[in-house]
Parts: sequence; structure tokens; C-alpha cells
Amino acid sequence: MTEPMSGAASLQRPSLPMKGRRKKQTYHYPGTAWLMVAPAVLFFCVFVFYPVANAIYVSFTSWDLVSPPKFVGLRNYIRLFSDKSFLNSALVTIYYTLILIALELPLALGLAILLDRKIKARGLYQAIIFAPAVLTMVAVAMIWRVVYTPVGGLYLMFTEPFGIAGLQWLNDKDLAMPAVLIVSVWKNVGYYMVIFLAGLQAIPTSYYEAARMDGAGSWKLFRHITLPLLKPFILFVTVVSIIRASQAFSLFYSLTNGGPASATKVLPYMIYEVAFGFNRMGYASAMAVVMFGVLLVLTAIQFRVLRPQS
Amino acid sequence: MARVEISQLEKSYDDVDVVRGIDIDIPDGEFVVLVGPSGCGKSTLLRMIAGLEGITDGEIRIDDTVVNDIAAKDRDIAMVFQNYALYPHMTVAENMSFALKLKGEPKPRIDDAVKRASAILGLDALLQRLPKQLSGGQRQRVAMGRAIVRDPKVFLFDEPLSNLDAKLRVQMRSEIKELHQRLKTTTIYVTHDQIEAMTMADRIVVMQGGVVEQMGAPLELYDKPANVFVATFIGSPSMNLYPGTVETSEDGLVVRTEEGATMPLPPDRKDLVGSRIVYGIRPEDIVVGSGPGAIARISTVEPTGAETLLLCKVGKVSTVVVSRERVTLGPGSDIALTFPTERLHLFDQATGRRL
Amino acid sequence: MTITASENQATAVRRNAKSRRRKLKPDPQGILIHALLIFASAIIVSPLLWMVVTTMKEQQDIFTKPLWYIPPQPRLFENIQHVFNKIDFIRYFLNSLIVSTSITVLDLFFSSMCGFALAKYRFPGRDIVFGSIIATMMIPFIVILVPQYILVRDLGWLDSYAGLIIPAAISSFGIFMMRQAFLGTPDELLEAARIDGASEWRILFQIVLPMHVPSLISLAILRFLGEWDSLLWPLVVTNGENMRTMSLGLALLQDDRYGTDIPMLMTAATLALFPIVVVYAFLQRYFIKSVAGSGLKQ
Repeated sequence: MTEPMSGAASLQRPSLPMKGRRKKQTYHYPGTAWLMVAPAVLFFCVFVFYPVANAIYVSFTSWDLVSPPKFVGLRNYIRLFSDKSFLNSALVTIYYTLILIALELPLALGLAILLDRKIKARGLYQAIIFAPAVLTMVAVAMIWRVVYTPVGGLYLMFTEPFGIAGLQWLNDKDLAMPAVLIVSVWKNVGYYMVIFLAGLQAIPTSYYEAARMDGAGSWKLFRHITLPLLKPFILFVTVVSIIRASQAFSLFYSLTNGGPASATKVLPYMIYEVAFGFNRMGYASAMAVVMFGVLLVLTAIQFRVLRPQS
Repeated sequence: MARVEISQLEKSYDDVDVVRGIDIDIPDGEFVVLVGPSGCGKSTLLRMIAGLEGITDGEIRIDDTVVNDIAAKDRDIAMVFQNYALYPHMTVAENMSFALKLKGEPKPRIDDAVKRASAILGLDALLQRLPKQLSGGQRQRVAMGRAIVRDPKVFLFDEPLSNLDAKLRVQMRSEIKELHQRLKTTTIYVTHDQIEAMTMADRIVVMQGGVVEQMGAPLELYDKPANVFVATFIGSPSMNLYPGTVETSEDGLVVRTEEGATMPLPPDRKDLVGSRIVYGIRPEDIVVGSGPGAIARISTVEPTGAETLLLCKVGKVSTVVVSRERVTLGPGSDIALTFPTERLHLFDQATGRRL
Repeated sequence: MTITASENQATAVRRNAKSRRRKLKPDPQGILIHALLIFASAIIVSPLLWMVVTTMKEQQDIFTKPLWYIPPQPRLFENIQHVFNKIDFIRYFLNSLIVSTSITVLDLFFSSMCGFALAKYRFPGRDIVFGSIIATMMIPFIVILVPQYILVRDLGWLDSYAGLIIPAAISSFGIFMMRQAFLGTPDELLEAARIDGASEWRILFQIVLPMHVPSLISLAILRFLGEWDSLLWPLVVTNGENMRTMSLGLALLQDDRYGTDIPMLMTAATLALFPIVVVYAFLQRYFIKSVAGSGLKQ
């Protein structure tokens, strides 16, 4: 009946490392598992990885979609860096992205902080401010196009009290980008507000209570409790909004058409135009690849800089 | 109903051996409890029997059929999990009938089985509820109902009571035992709680580090622990242990601890003179009062009503005494303890084995 | 006795009065917060309201009448007729519905399948599959626009539902989201089902998916809205009227430069937004939850 103790001297056998217990998946089902992932794997190979590889290949060619592609080496890339319209587009994209983030993130955070408390009609405010995020971009652009009508546009409601009227929002190259930015903020701020609000609500109130007992005022609470604990959300929202802003196409296509005088011709718009307006697939691909590279580097830097130290 | 034979069973993950060579033979209808500290391999063993865990080496037979390569669903076993694992979107009745439905049993038969099980467990009024509308004890009962409905060869329980509060645990303990007496289905029950093991089992298997330390009826393990590990694991509070050397003195045969305290040994253990042993005695076997034994200093007195726990020190070794008498002495006072020599447990210091 | 009772009463009255006064006392911080939120809400709402007001106007009202002027005889009906004369609104709407719904359904199906395998099984290549699918979230669509167009052209899918739907059918975002949701499912539940005799497929579709309906709804909302909104791909991949989606149809509508018919434009926008606003009004909490949950889980 009794099994002798096999180990010598020890009164207590060492208990087994927990590692063994954590590996819960046991009888394996590699066949079933692969069947389940197979459609997705196949899909991503055909519709993402192959096109990415192809984009890189096409970027080394000259191709008008009609005659076969002609290999031209680095010529597209070399030409890019002396192409004023490309450089203009790159600058316009950076300008749009940076200003948009500088405007919408603090605004969204501010609104989230206002809503992060028990007040009347909280749900209603949230629903209204978030609403533009669900509206179709092209329809939104249509509305704003009319709002920006120099005579009779709704913008006058805000400028007329200051004696300003007859602004050529979409035809003035200094006003076109601000016009786009206003629409972007209007559409996005509720979206980011909701994400920030989720972050704020994830902060346990006990932290605030403890800090308040330690004598911290509102600013100190914000600076030393809210902001650090919100950091992962700020990182997430920054990354997402950079990606979204730098890829924005619909708004530019339907509000400004990249005009006036290329003042709002962001890179995605330019790539679209070069590829499908001028049929220069190789050159368009080279632009896309450069843009992709820059975005990758940017995102990597952001994760480095903003990652919570722990 | 079935006999379960486990022979030379091994399990390893990568380089870690979790179960190393286990042999257990469970006759039809027996209630076996696998007990041991966490990480001892008891759950892994149970999951191997269930067919949830692959077998590295050795064999499991249910009713003389080797089940190593038979899928869980075809082994005709039922399992109750620690967190109950009730399907949250199905009612109690649907939870209980799911397995039969998958087997393609005709509906009247299923309804019948569910009715019978719910009557046994007193679940009749709850059949249309969802798991989230049930209390912990009720969920536990549904989990058992799900097992009963299938009328399996073997019931497997994986720490089924550890999510319940103390009072409910005692109640469910006796319910499970009653259920077993009624259904007489072979049952393998895993727990880390030695009291559960003692109260429920026909036979206990004590495991540590992936091997079986001892198997036997509850009182057999209590009275004759095979080694130091089983001695400390079974029984609460746990056995007092004093490492020391056997000598002859003017009082007869004694064990001398490192600090020089001496404890009496029965005169017939002359064979041990000179050897280094571990001297063990259960707290409830120590008698308060002078006689052959030791002087202890009380550090804490814990009255529980029926009995009183005295936490004291013999030399530097902590000693627990359970006294049925009410003790009037307070902390700091010295007390004479008698160690009845017929109640001793002696173990080899080097191997830990019973002498 | 009587004295103490009345005294008690008196203090009670005083206390009541006090608390009432406290309620009535203006709370400057509260008022400021409400003022800011009302201002923000007004800015959000006013273009939309104005759009609706404009649908009732005539073209010349825009330039001659006050901003919020509502004509005594609203011309909404005539404006709707103008829209329908100008574009095949119903067709665009149905196209969008077909395309967005198909993509959403396909993505829910395949993403849950893939996410489930990634969350709950170990199999050779799992980490590589997961890693590379997540990595694709970093790829901007504009990078693969040209090669994807070429691919769809070579497949003969230009100007077809297949061309609009299939290249968008599975999203790395959907796989990621479902995987995260499934990770929280206790393994014991799957094991109980296995012992009960369920196959792995049945476990997924009968046990696990019904438990994660909220995640499925979130994914469905995000995916549907995203596809409803999409403009660039339909712009590239469709040629004629037949396959035009709502977004594309609207975008081309305002490309017509022969004197913009503003009330007609606003009517088209209103018609396009109306269904979304209605759905949003009813399911608003789900919409917000799905975005809130798309961020980070603690």
C-alpha cells in the first residue's frame, strides 16, 4: 500500500514549479486550430502581405497599367526627393496631423474630465458630443461645405458678432487647412473623449481619496494621479490619431479636393491622384512606401517615449 | 460503474515532470480522495483520467479498457470543476441535458434523466434559471446534476468545494458523501484540504512532488503515517516533530533534542540507540500533567470551546497541545507535558520514513 | 417630553431648510461645467440642425434670408425629389447596405474563428500567425491601394460586389478584439463541454460565441460604420452607377459644379444620415461602449 519516499534527506519534497500548471491547453488540437486560422491566414497572405510586397516591387518600376511594368531601380525614390509637389504634400500631411492632434487630444481630454463625474444629463452630453463620430464622413463634408459658403453659410453665426463675413474658407489657401481642421476636430473629439473617459473611469477612486488626504489640490491630483495613470490611454490615442490623421482621405476628397493650389493635398490624396489620375503606379507606390516607412519609425518612437516606465 | 487502474503513469511538460510513476487501483464503487499541497500533481492526475491532459507514459484503464487514446467524451466519465464551469447562457435544465442532447438521446429520455437528477439534488424549482441567478451552493449542485444526468462510470471532482464559504462547504461535503452512498458510482475526488479527505474518503491517496506518498483508509493514514510528510499533512493541528538522537539515560530510553530536552521512548526500541530520528506526537495525544515527557513554556492559549489549543515551546521547538480540559494557565507560565509512549510516531531523520 | 419633541421638530425643520438652501444655492463649479458642456454640445449640434433647416429652403433663401429662416411652405418634398432625380439614391443606399453588412458578417465569422484558435489552442506557428496579423494593423491602406487594385483587376472583380467586399472581409482588428475577448473564457468551460461530448467547433459556436455577444456587437458596430464610411476603395474599384455606394454617390454629387443646389445637397446629406442617426439614437450606449472598449483594457 505504501510507496516509500524516494528522495533522501528531505522532509519535504520541493513542490513543482507553477510553470507546469499554467500551461492549461493540454490535449492539443493542432488540426482544428489550423483549420480555424486558415481562412484568415490565407486572406492576409493574398490581400495584405502579397500586396505589400507587390507595392515595394512596383515602386521600383515605371508602370501605367497598360503596358508592362518597366524596372527603373531607385529612380522613383530619387525623383521623389526633388519633387516639390511631393514635398509639399508631405509637409501638408505633417502640418495637418500635428495641429489636429494638438487640438483634438487636449479638447477630448478636457471634455472627458468634465464628464467624469456625476452630473445631470451626463449621458445626453456624451451621446451628443460623440455623435459626429458615427456620421458618414462624406455627408459631414457636404454639410460643412455648405456651412463654409462665403455668403449665407452657418459659420457667420460665429464670425458676424466680430464683424467678419464673406470668408472664402475653401478657396483661400490660408483658410482651407483651418477649415478642414475644424471639421476634423468636430468629428473626432467625441470619439477620443469616449476613450479617455473609459481611461479615467478605470482609475480607482481610492487613489484620489488617498491623495486628497495627503493634502493634494485639484491640480496636483490631475498632475500626479490622473495624468500618469492615463498615460497608456494617451499613448494609445496619440498613436491611433496619428495613424488616422495621416491616412485621412475622404474628408479631403469631398471637402477641398486637395485645393486650393494644393494647400490641402495630403499624401493619401496625392498618391491616389498620381496612381489613378495620372496612371503612374510606380511613382505612387514609391510615395506610399516612403510614407509607410516614416509612419513605422514614428510609431516606434512614440512607444519608446511614452511607454509607462515600470 | 467501473474499476479504474492507473499504472506507471507519468506526465511531463517540456522538462518538468509533474507526475512520476503513479500506481493506483480503484475498485468499483470506491470513493478515493487525492490530496496534497498545491503543485503536487493531483489535479494533473485527475485531468489525465478525465482525458483532458495527455499521458506521457504509463496506462489508465477504465473497466479493463486502456483509455490513453480515447477522447474525454468517449470515456464515459463526468467531471465537476472547481469553478463549476456551468454554461452561462444555458438554463439549469439545458446545462444538465447538454451532454445527452449531444449524444442524440431521445427527448423523453433526457427529460426523465434531468428530472431524476434534479429530484435527487433538490433543483426542481431552479430548472429554468440561468447560472448567474443561483447561489454558490446551488451552482455546485447544478454542476453535480450535470454529472449525475449522464450516469457515468466514474465521477471526477476537482476541488469542487473550494469556492464555497466554510459553512456551505461542510454541508456540501456531506451531500456529496450521501450522493455517493446512494449512487455507488466510482468517485475520484481531488482536494488540498485534508479534513475533506478524511471525512469523505473510503481511501486517501496522499501525493507530493508528483508521487504517491501513502495510500490507505483515512484512519490508517492518521494512525500510521508512512513518513514525515504524511504525518504533518494529515491531522489538524499538525503533528509535533522533534529531531534528536536516541540515547539511554537514567529514565530509560530517550530522545535528546539539539537543545538537550529529553523525551521518553518505549523500552522496546533499543534498536534505535544512537540513531538520529524525528520524534513525533499529535497535539491531541499529549497529556497536560506530570509524567514522562517535557516541560514547556506557554506562548499563546486559544480556547475554542470544546477544547483548548496551547501553543508552547519545548526548548526552542514549537509545540501545539490540544487539551480537552480547560486550562487556567496564561502565557509565560511553564507546564508539564506527558508524552504517552504508545502514541509516538518515530521517523528516520535521513529518509523521513516511519521506523 | 413635549418640549423636547417640539425642539426636535424645530431642529428638523431647520435642518430641512438648511439642506434645501444648500440645494438651491448656486454651485459655481457645477454651473461652469454645465455651461462648457452645453456650449460644446451646441457646436456639435448646430451644423446638423442647420442642415435640417436648410432642407426646407429654396436656393435663394440661403443668400437672402436669415441663417435659421424656415419658409412658411417648407420645400422638403421638392428637395427630396431633386435628389432622387439627380442620383439613384435607393440603389446607392442598398449597395452600401449589402457591402457593409456582408463585410461585417464575414468578419465576425472568420475573426471569431481565428481569434478563438489564437486564444485557446497551442499549435505550431501560433505566435507567428498572431504576430504577423497584429503587425498588419500598422500598414496604412494607402500603401496597398495600388497592388490591391491590380489584384482585384486581375481577378476580374472590378465593379462587382466581390471586389468591394472580399478584400475587406477579414480585419486584423477584428481578430485581435475577439482574441482578447476569448482569452477571458475559463478553460474549464471548454473542458466541461469536451467531456459532455462537444466537438471543438461546437464549443466555439454553441458555448463560447453566445457568451461573447457584447464583443460581437461591438465589433459589428465598428466594422459596419467603418465600411459604411469607406470612400477610397469604392472610388477606385467601381466604374459605373450600378456598384456605387452611398459615400461615393454623395461625393460625386457634389462634384457637380453647375451651380451648387444647396438645399438639394443638404437634403441628400439628411437622407444619408437619417438612418444612422435613428439607429444611433436607439443603440447609442452600444456605440459608445464599443469605442470605449476598443481602447485599452486595464
